[in-house]
Amino acid sequence: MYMKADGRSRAGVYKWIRGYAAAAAACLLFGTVYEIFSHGVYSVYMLGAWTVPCLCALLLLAAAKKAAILPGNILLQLLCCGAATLTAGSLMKGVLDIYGTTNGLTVFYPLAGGAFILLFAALYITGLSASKRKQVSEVLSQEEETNIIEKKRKRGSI
Amino acid sequence: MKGKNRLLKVYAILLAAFTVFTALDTFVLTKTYEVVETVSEEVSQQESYAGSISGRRSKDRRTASSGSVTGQSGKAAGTGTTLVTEDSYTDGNISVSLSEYEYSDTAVYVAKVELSSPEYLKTAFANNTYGKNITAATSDIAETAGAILAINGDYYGVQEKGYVLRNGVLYRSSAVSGKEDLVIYEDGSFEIINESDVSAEELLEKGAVQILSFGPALVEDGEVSVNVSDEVGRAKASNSRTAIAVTEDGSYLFIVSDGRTDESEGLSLYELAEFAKSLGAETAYNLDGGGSSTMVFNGTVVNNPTSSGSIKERKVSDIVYIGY
Repeated sequence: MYMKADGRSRAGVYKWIRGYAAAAAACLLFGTVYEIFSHGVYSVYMLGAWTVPCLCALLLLAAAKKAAILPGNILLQLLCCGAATLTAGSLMKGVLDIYGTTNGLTVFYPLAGGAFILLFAALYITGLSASKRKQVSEVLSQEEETNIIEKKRKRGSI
Repeated sequence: MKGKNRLLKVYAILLAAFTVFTALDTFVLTKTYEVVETVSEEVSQQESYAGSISGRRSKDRRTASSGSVTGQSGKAAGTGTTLVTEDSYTDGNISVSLSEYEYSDTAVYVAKVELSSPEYLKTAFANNTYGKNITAATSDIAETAGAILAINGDYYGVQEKGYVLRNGVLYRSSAVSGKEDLVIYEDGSFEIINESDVSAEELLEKGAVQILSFGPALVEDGEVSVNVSDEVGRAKASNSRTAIAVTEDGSYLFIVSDGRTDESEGLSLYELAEFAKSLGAETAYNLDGGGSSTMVFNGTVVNNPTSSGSIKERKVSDIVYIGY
């Protein structure tokens, strides 16, 4: 579920980042063209659909630069499911807004998309915390070992 | 990543399927909630009457024809002489005069209506059916209803909420917070209400026979009630518009403007309100506009409705009409 942040895992995450960037560009283009032919009626959902993949790309970029561990393939798929759901929902809401209608089924998109994103966030934060604890305990055990060696050295047993 | 992203691939298929279903449910799949019972005799008589008018107009649009219409009885225009011209209709109960204006680089069509009784101001559903995605062209609904004059209504079918009361029957009573409606009472008077303030059942008890839920109100108590910046949702400032108004002397104004073309720019809500006020409107209300804006008089579409970039009628859920 997690990957140690090394060159190979970072390269894998960068592939996802490129995918998100392409999706954001496609959404921006689609929204702009759709608005051109919508007789001046606009929707923030249509115009703002690109922000979801863009935010995901930025999040992964930050993780790749700073984090000690990176989300593994399962977590990356969870994030992508959430991003795809929110983006599709935003585009659908934009289409309905511009047509001047509503549909109760669209409530699925924020609920499902939000659930995927929250699950990803919870699992990744848990992993980051565990990784930090592990690092701390490794440091502590190293310090403890050093202290024991020092004590032994003082007693002249080494 | 190939072969590894099974979860993502399966979910993408499910998401696409759900999205397609949502789109179909919104725009294509029809749902019939209730079929409206029609008074078959009167309507069929009126249909033949509307057909005869339509025929006369197509033969000689400029010639006034007079004389009683055959095959009618009771209230169906049987009271005296019926006079029909290209831009007017008069019988013992109903008088309609059609005018065309040029206002703010926009062609505006106005039908002034005088009635002996408000019962001749009616509404009709597409295919006589209350439901979702059940639509027909304004001219087709008008023909079925035997309308002398008709304009598109509030397109209730694209909304899931908002009052729908037609010809004294309450079809939908779910309120939309802050929504301004036009209520037409038995005595023919108009009132602007807010769905947050009063229930549809209360309005029905008060004698409402029609509730149109689109808006906003354009003129109230003889004063313009919209701002320069007010628009329908995020609609374009200049657009095709449809409005209905009542004047102080009790006559009705059916107003439709062209828009979205080089010849006719379209009106903003404020311009439409100012225009309605200039015609003496005491209360005026904005109905569904854009591609829906259509006026039909004696079986002929009067304006130039724009739908999908060309001059053609868009199918709508309902109409407001004058007829028997």
